Amino acid sequence: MRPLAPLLALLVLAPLRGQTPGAAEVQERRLPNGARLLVVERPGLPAFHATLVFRGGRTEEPTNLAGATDLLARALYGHTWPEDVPDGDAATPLEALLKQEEGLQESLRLERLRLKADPSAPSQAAGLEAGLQALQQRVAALQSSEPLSDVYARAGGRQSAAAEADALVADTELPVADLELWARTETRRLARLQLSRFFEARTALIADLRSGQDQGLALLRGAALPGHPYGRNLVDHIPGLEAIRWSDLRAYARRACGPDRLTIVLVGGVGVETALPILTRTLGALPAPEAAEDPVLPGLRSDLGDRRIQAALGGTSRLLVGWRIPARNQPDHLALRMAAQLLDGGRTGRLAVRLVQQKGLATRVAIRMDEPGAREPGLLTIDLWPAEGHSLAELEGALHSELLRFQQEALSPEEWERAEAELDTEQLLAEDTPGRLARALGRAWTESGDWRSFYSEAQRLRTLEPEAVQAAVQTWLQPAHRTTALIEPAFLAGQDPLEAEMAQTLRTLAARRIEDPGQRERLVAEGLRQLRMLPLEERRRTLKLLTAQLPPVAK
Amino acid sequence: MRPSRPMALAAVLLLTGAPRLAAQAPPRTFTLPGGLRVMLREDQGRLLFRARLRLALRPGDLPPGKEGLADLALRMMDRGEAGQLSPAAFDRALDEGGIRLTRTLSAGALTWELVSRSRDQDRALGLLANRVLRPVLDPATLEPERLACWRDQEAALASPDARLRTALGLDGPPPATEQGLGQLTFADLETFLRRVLRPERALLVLEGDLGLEQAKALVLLSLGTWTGAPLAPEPPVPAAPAAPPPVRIPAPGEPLRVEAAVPPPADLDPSLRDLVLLLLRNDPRLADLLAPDSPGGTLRFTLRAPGQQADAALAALRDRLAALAGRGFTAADLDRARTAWAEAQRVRPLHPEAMLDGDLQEADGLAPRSWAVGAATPGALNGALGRWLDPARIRWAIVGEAAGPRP
Repeated sequence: MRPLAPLLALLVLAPLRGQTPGAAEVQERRLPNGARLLVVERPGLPAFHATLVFRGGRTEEPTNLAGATDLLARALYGHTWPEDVPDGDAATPLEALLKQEEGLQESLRLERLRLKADPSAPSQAAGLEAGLQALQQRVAALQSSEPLSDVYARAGGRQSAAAEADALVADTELPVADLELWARTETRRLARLQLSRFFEARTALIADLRSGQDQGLALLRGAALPGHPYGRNLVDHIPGLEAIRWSDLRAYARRACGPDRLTIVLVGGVGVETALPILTRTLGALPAPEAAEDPVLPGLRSDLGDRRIQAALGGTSRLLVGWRIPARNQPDHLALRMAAQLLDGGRTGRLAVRLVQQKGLATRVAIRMDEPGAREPGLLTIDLWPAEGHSLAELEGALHSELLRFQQEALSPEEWERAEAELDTEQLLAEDTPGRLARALGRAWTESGDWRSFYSEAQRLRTLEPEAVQAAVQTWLQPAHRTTALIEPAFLAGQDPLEAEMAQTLRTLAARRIEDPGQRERLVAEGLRQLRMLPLEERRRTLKLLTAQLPPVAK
Repeated sequence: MRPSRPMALAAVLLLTGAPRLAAQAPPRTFTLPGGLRVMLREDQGRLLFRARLRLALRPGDLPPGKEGLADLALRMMDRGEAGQLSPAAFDRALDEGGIRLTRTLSAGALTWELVSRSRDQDRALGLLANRVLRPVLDPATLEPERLACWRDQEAALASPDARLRTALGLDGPPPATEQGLGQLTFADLETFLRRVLRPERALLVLEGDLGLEQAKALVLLSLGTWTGAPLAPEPPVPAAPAAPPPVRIPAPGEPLRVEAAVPPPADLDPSLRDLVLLLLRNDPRLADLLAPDSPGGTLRFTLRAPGQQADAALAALRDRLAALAGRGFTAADLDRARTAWAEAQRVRPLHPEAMLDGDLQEADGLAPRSWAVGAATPGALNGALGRWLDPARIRWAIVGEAAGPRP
């Protein structure tokens, strides 16, 4: 019977490890400098996906360096030029020129600011520009200019990077034979932090920010998460971004991209036995920075009170509601994820069925969890686009009725099973594709402090009870946690009947005192904006009061 | 003299085929009696099942003056019954199995993409078959859907970026217009679907933990009855329109930029197409100008010109593209591109969706061939680039606020 003993021991001990079969395929190691390594081997795949996750992200940027993570995603990880990853430690001629360029760029920026303040002052801008141009030509002469100079592109690989609220994430895909090349290149990149395309990256980032993003969501974040880095809108920090210097970003990168903040995730045809020795002598040999405390983030109460904002952003009308919800490592977070799935999962989510298909109040609905991140308390947002002939106020009322129904009425087993099936497919999709799996493991580590939560949450979802989900919704999706944004194309467009009447009344009243029609319209718009902040009943009462002031109509 | 690495690689490519073939077994194919072609990519142990059903669109399918025909027909399909299932029951059946079914409309095809758990593959393929083989259009929904289609189109085009993509032809066939939608009749929609939803136009690619015999049984069960009724002669093919004049897209507050987009010539050899794309998209001198990716291999150029006059910016971009068209790729460039292309084939299996896309291309003869990559010459490469960037084929758009008068 002896041979059976190990098998029995395995059977007994396996559940105690608390790992799902998925988690068991992840091999975790620590490199000498503290960096974590996760390897998921997929035998037979001729390539690997590598994700470097640096914990921190936009949230941990100091205010004067807002945008630094985005700049690093572009300048550090946008490409892999050979001149940025040279062998050895000696300073390169390129580095010296970049230092000079930084000085000239800064002088020119200050000169332009001076001229803006005093356009009649004598200008040195032309001289500085000429000097800068000459210097840039010398820089360009040292930069790669041939097609397919990029180290990874030349090897058939791909590279991308993203600045996220909680992390800087860099992805690379290469054939298995290039594992050593990748590890060496990444080590040199981090050791040198040359950022040779910094100035171009800064210009492109500012241009992209100016070209627009979802300002509705940015407004909502700002109003719902005041004073917290999660509420920061980079568009408001463009002047600061213009002032970030090459050396500032390099100094920041030394802290933000240190091994103590790094998790390396490899998924593909590479085993841990192959990867570990290579990574130990490359990325694992990077010097560990001196111990530094993590920045202290401002705390934010969830029950800040019901907040409302109204904005005219052009485009289409839209109702955007956000609730402050707990971070990913808090107990109710998973129940809220299930709630989001029930409300807007697949094609038969409650809100789509009730508000779009049955009542015809909205044309579209979208829910987001963890906006903009989940390491800290973030937002659960619901986005609704009104159907023709229906106002945002009407839609808002219907949304809140649906949420009340959700809390009070029993959830049907059919919709619960549909939500579970959807989440199951989502989990399988994440596990199926190497890139998705690598990012999901990295995100789990960043947001909850443990990569295993990617698997354990899927397990816990299966044991959730409907009552727990309803209780979480009752606790968190309540008015004291809520911020509502009414987004309209223009202040006077898309009005509901009450608002149209209000506008007409205000116009008539204003016409008695103000002659200038432009001034009159501005006053009406401002009046409407303020009145929208009031509850519906109070608006009706105000309209009555205003109507009473109108002169009697001649019959 | 020892041969250089790229030369050796080219020789290997010529003699042995792409490295992909060594790493990945090629898909197996079969054809149903009705004409449906099926490709199977067997992957034992995979917990997900993927299917992609593509129906080719021909130039005569979408006649000018009926813009929105395909959009409206697909909407009517979505809102109508599928087999015996009402729209709500169909959606419920998908969600009950956690099955994801999406459709896309591109310039050359209608495509349905299906993802499900392996254990639900029968049900998933059955639902896809119901949707495509047995759509029931309800005439009563025509007017509401026509209106909804137009409103969605208006809303979609509210953003400058969407208008720009449309102007540059990056978003599939010409978008619905109010006039085009207004002219469509129920009979038009029926005729369109009858003409397009036919097995001989279809290609089904499957990927998952199923063998050839199992796949044959599965496809026969779901799609085995698919036959195409006789058709009226194909409508005449309209002449390809010349590139329109530059489109002006107002975007208040945005700095001026000029955009240009140009798809690869339809008859360009796929191997040359891929090599040119590799070289251009990885050219540091074009990093500020060329988008790293855009659908169908279209080259999309953006010149940011804040504070400039629109016509000056337009001329500057024209000059840069003319210079680019006239450049000469060298033999060294070609060698690097060949190496990168060959190595990139090893990376593709990391993306199951890309593998299915590759299979679709392969079936159409639009996939690059390793022997053709190996046989490409600098002259052929430069000829391809010149044809691709022919000024008559380029679409232009001006976005944002210019300093001067409109061109």
